[in-house]
Amino acid sequence: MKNFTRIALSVLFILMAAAMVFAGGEAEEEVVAYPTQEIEAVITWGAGGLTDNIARNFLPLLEEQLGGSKIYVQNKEGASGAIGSQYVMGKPADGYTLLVTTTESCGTWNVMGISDMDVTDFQPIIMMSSLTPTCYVSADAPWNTVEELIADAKARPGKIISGFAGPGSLGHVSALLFSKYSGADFNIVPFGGGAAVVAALLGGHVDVAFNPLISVMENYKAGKVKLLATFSNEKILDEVPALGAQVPSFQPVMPYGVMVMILVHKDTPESIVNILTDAASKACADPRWKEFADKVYIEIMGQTGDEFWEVVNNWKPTTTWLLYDAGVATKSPADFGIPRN
Amino acid sequence: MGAKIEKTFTGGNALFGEALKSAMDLNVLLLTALGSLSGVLIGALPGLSVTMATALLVSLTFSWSMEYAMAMIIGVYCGGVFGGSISAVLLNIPGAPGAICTGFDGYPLARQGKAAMALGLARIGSFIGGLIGVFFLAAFAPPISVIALKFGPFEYLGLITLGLITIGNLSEGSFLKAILAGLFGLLLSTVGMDPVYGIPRFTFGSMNLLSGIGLIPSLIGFFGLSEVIVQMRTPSHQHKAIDQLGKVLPKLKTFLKMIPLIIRSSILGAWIGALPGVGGTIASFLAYDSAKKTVKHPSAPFGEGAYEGVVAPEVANNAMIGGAMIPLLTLGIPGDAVTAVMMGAFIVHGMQPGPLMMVNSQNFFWFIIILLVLANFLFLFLGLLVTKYFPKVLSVRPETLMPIVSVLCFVGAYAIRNSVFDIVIMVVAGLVGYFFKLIKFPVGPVVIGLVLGGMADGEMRRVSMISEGDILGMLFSRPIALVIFAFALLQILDQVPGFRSGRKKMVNRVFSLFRQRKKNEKPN
Repeated sequence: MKNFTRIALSVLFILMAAAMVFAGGEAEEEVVAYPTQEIEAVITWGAGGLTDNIARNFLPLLEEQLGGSKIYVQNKEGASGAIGSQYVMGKPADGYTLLVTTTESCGTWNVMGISDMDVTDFQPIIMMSSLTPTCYVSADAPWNTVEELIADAKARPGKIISGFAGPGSLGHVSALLFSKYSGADFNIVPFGGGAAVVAALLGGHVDVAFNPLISVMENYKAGKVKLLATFSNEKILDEVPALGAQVPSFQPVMPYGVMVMILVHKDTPESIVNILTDAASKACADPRWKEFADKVYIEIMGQTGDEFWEVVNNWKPTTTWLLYDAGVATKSPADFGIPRN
Repeated sequence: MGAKIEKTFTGGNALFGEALKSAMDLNVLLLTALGSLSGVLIGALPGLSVTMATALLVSLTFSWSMEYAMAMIIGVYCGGVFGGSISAVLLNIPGAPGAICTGFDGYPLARQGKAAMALGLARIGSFIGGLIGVFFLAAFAPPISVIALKFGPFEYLGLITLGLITIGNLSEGSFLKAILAGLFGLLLSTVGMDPVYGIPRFTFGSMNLLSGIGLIPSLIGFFGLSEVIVQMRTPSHQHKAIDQLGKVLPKLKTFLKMIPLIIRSSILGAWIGALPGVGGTIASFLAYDSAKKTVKHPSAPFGEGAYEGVVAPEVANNAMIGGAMIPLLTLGIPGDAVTAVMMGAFIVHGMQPGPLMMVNSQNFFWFIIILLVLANFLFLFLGLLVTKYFPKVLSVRPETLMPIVSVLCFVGAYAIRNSVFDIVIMVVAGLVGYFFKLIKFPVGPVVIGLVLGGMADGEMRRVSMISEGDILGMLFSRPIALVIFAFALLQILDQVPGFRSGRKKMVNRVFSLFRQRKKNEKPN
């Protein structure tokens, strides 16, 4: 009997522990003025990664503009950001839960068959920045320009190995885009992450790769890789040509990149959205944001409202159709009303 | 001692002095100590992982100076990897995947009343392994990184194959059961988006399953919660409270005998750590496996409390740290999950790790090395407290201890990704693990299968894509991969009755022929 009581108590204790975990952080309050309490920012990518880094540098500036309400950061990664986004969707539409995510995730869920949610299911606050991919090869590779690389790839179809990080990622779409608009046939091989691609290229396991500038800059400065072009129409770095300027067939789809943005629940009251948008725009104009952006080679964006949607609507058709045509996306963008561009 | 070694390598130049000066700050010392101690505790608590702790530290130390932030993070990293062994030894619940093997012999030792000894061995092993790893980092970082880059998908697949082969050797009891459990783990690893096209497999429409079955939640469930259930179902009069804790230090003779093993295991650990994309977990599997195969007269049979079985994986585990820093500091490519987070911390503080760091900020490179050495010494001493008092946990009655452990299981499973679904995975894994224990199936191979399966999947697909299907043809053009696969094949063939002795005879005959010829040549 004594034993039974003990076991029963233990079980009770476990259940209480479980309950405590499940019940965490559900405080709700009617809002009159905004913000009056702590704001939760949900980052849909893992801690320590590039998106996380960008978010953690931007949010303190936003916090300052909002006048002292603390913003605390949570990483909820998984399923291309759909897990964190779903979490935000389940929260009250009061502006106290911000979603920090990338176009790379919420712009492709539909066609990748990951989720029925879409970026349009949220209310935009701001597009903070964009990561531009670059096309690079090893320092001892025979190609010195994109033209040489494309010509060689046309001469030996499927023989040049192009590496990218993970299905649906920026590198993947860049690799697909590069193949399609150059008209050359590459053997496109996926790797486990951005860093793994750089390692594979340095070790000579792939011939050409596509990564955001920041992940290759150090190796570029050390003379270990050659940057052939950035995915833009105008030069981003003085000494690296813009892909659009170099090869005209790329012009219509440049600049291409992944945008980091802040969204809130769709039903958030307009007054709150306006306060947030205002504060975020000011934070975006902060010189410290520029300083950080230069340091990690990202472009400052700053679009809000209609301009925000314009950027998304330009980005989506290019990306989703590339993924669909390559057999990566399982559902046709046409099913979601995305026109081919 | 460690600092002196490095000094000779730089010829005592100014950069090293500068680094030493910034490390001699009292705050740096205190923060490293605080980091080491909390690392040991975090590692020791089942469920709380070092990766999670470093990720939290990155945001906590956001506004600190970089020196202070690094001191704390490196302290946690070094202390935490050792700490994982504590719960493996005392409770049979590894605090991290790398400590799974430590429990194979550590837990039996604790049951025999030698918990303090097991922890003492783990602590000294971790310390020596850690220092040897740092030595490799300090002395050979650039050349090692060059060789590590030669490892592509083929070579990784070979290493993973080697890791998979160890499954049969990594658990006591039935070989067949171990293999079946390993296959179950491999099957679990296929759940989620596939690594090439991102196509959902076995997700049954659940968004949560898209990212696969989390390794840490399943580790906590299979080892932690299942153990809680086992203990709670054991009638309390059958529990033996263990009061005698044994000596903390082994005899010098026992220790000296292990030196070759320590050196082998640390080289293995440092080397595998230096390979970006493999991670330290395999290092401890391979070290334990090779210890089991090469140590002829262990202090007790492996699996029943062999000192060697505790030392080998712990040495490899901590040597891995120095190794994992090599690609991070020389190429800007993190070697494992913790260094990936650490890289984020560097960038936050305006430091971009990469090939230029060795040229432009060499003082920073040395600063990191000094911190690593410092952290190793600190956990050696602070760990003494731990090894002295933690074993008292064993005399706590299970009715008191197990509920606490189960709370930690829940908290740990949730905290790794702030995900309630991970708690569900943990609970299911706990129930399955309990069932496995009922039918006497080992749970270790399940987790090993889960760790290696995901990697094997990706590398296998890459290999077939790069070789355009002609895998064998390509294999013969890659000597390193060929050697690794040949070695793996040998490991399998050695299990065939008669093969091993036949092979040894062959080798001996060839050698004796050679010797005879030499003898014959001499008189001339």
